[in-house]
Amino acid sequence: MRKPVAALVATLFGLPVAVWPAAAWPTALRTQLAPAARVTLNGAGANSIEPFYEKVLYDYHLSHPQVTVNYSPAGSSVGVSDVQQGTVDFGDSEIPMSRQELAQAHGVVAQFPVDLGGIAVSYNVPGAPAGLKLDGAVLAGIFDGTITNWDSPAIAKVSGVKGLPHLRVVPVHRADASGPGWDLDEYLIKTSPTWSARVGTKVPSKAWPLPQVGVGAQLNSGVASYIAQAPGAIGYVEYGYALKAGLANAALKNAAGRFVAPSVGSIAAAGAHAARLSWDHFDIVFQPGEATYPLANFSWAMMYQDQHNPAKAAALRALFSYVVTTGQKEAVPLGYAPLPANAVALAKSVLGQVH
Amino acid sequence: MVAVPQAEGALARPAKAALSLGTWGDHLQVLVAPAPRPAGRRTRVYGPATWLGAAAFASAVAGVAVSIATGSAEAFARYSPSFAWSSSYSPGTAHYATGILVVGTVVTTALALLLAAPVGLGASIALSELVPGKLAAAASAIIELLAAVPSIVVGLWALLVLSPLFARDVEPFLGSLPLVGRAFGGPAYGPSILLAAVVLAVMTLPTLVALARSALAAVPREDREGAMALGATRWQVVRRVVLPAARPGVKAAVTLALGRVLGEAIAVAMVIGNSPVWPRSLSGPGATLGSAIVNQFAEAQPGLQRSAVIGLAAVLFLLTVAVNVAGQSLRGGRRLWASRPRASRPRASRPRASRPRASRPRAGRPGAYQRGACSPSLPSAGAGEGGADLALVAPPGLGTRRRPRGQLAQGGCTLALVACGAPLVALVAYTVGRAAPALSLGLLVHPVAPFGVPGGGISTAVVGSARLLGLALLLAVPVGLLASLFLYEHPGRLAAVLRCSADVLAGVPSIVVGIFAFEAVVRPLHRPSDLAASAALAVLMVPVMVRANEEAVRSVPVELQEAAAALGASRWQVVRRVVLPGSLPGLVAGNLLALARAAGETAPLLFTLAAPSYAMTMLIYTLGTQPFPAAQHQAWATALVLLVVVLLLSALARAAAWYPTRRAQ
Repeated sequence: MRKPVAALVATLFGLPVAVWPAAAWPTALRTQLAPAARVTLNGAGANSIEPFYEKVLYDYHLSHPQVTVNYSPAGSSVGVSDVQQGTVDFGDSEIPMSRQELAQAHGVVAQFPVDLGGIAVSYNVPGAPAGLKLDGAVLAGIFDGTITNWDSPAIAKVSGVKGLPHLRVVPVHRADASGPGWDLDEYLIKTSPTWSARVGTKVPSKAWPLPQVGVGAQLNSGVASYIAQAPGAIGYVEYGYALKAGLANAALKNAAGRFVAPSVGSIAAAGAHAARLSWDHFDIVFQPGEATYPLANFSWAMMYQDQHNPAKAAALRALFSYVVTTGQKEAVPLGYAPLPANAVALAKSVLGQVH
Repeated sequence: MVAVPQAEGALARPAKAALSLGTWGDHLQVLVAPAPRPAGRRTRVYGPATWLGAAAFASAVAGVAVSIATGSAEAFARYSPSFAWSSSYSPGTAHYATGILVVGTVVTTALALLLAAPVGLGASIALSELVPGKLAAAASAIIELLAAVPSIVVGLWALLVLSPLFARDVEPFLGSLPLVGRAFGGPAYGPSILLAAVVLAVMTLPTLVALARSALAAVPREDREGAMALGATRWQVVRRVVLPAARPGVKAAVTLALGRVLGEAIAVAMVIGNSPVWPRSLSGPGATLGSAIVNQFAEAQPGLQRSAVIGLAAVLFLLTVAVNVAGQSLRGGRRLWASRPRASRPRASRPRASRPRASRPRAGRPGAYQRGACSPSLPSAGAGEGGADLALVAPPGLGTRRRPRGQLAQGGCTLALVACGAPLVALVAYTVGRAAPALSLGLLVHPVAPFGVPGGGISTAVVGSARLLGLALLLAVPVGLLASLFLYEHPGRLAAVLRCSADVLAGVPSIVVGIFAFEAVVRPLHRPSDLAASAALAVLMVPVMVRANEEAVRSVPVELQEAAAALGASRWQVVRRVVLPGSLPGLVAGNLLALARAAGETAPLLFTLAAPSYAMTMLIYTLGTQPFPAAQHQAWATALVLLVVVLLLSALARAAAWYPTRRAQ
């Protein structure tokens, strides 16, 4: 009785080994038997930057095979709390850590911009043109549930598009806290007279303030997927995701009173206004300029200035120097604007203090 | 199980037995027994080793409980006791509207049960009473295999396939119905409480059917024959004899399925719409404790906010424990602290039940080892005893007038069987269909790459999952084996407490175990790691292993052990040469089933893994929600690989359990 069972167990464990194509073994072995010279950096945070990080970190690993970078795109707030708890080597957030959040960290946290992205307000309305014009008041009405149908006069008046279908508006928000949520909240607070009153605060929040209205989806990908599959849906997603998913994006009314659709150019225009950029002066929502897209933000990398492991400190400096310089060439095709010169300079100077 | 009480009593003092036999044994072995090695160091190590195993297991249980208790203490202290039913929600703070989430959880679970219980019960009646033997065996084998379908795959299917369908057709249709429609009013979003309940029902049906079927099958044949002899029709036998006799077992099956449903987090978070409001319409979005933890745990600020999320986990933990304890006390009505499993006590009046074949964990129901199920043979004992009494008092006048109704009911049961298997078979077929175009050798061989980079694959995730499971096995198997040997060797209060905690731990939602692993491994090590994820998986596997192993070990006839001991074997030698070889098929089967279940887990990896590409389930979770067809194809391909692995593991488990039965015939 024992032998067949032993054979069974042997097959169970032996089969994958035998069948597994030899080509996969180097990868498996490499991750398994990491020699001392290898460095693994763990990061977690913003979901919006994921397409950019994914490509840049992949390229970096190809040119620096001794460095493995893991990034868990679980959301900006995860980046913040993981840095506070010291469970990652670097975090990333669309909104840099506030004074209050910094106070809960175990040391001085270096924060610097790594990419510049925009937040698209995407919709799925059969028969509606791309670049539907919307302003803060209409968006506030949609997200607080007072505008319930696409053929509502308020939408027709602002967009100038008559004959939108009689279709229920389904506002989609993020189920988790997010940078895009913060940006849209900020835009609505600045542009809609009723939003702050309805939400009860004038301080923008990463967690979506009105989760009771509409549907909550997880991460940018979940929001984009839902919009893509549900007629009538409208929600906010990182422009890179909206671009890849081929969603129709609204043209939003900016500070100059123009309706501007998200594009690499209009996002770059928002970034160009960040003259006094720093971690406590990061807000580039609703910037002036005729061609400026009103919903944009930098994504911020966060790490402890005092790294206990010199090898890790060196690896972090090398990696992020690459990300803010050479890596920026990946930005445009993925729907991000390259960092402006002052942001690169800021990143380099802050990064220099990491040791 | 075969033990005569006296013999068991003798074995209950293994230390003494080993000691006395050991001194005699040294001489006896030389004279009689061809024992290869004298009882030496291993014998002395054996006892302490089982204690060590038990201690490791106990510390895992305590670790989970303590980490949740201490983690949530701050929130409960701050808001006590209103935290558990607060309905205030305020984003970015510690106000998570626990009360609304509890109601959301209860409503979703109740709806899932309302959908699953009749179908599951009908299907199990069909399997055990109506469908002819071979066909029933085949059908239950398939359904039990499907119990291993990972919830993430069900979630993926619901998100990508069912959700648009629900928004377009199902929810508007339900809303337009008279009367019932009021419960489904409002706009149809797709993601909704209803969709979440459907996902949960589909997920839990196989387990429910497996457990209910074994409860029905345990009703003695004589009882059925007696009723038939009195002139009862087939359906009357089912209604008047089988169902009343099996009621405790069936109730327990439903409750245990309920426990499993209650704790599901990831699949629910994918499809419920995540809106923390009082449920007004079943086709509207809602939120549950599990889905809220998925969305909030990792991002909560350390301190009060984190504590409040762990508080949600604590409430969920208590809910599932309550349900599971209720389920187990229903099951054969044993006392929670009973000093040994009831099934192990043979009844003199029912010699049939004490044949080894009946006591062995049979090939027919590996499903009984599923999460939440404690001991596969419990229902047989409970139901069997009840059945005998009920059959005797079967009311006179079981007439013939009800035949049409009976046929209707039989038809309904057969329909339920189809309804039970259909969604899962459809799911598997759909996965194969969607994955087939994407599946290639290159996909399996190449590591995960960013989109747009040609030649990306999923080997990182496949290898990662193998690594995680291997490490989890290394952690769990020794603990599971030693702890179960401890339970076997030391019947008594302590073992009863351990057994009870195994049942409790087996019912703890995997997302809660994920929180435990984050608090106990990720935080101290300052990084997410394979070790943390494996530890979480091991904690999920161990209780299932302990109970399955104990069943297997108990199935070895005591006579054989006594014979070995009489030949002078030490206790360790008896275990090594008689007990372990004799129970090996059962041990392998139980451990493989635990492994199959762990392979399909997503929630414990959520907070413990360095990147989603290091495990198949996490890769499915990440890719499946992407709005790009290429990513979704990859998600389906990964889901297919995962399905194959998981189904293969549980098929192997079945084969291992079936093999000796086959040999014996």
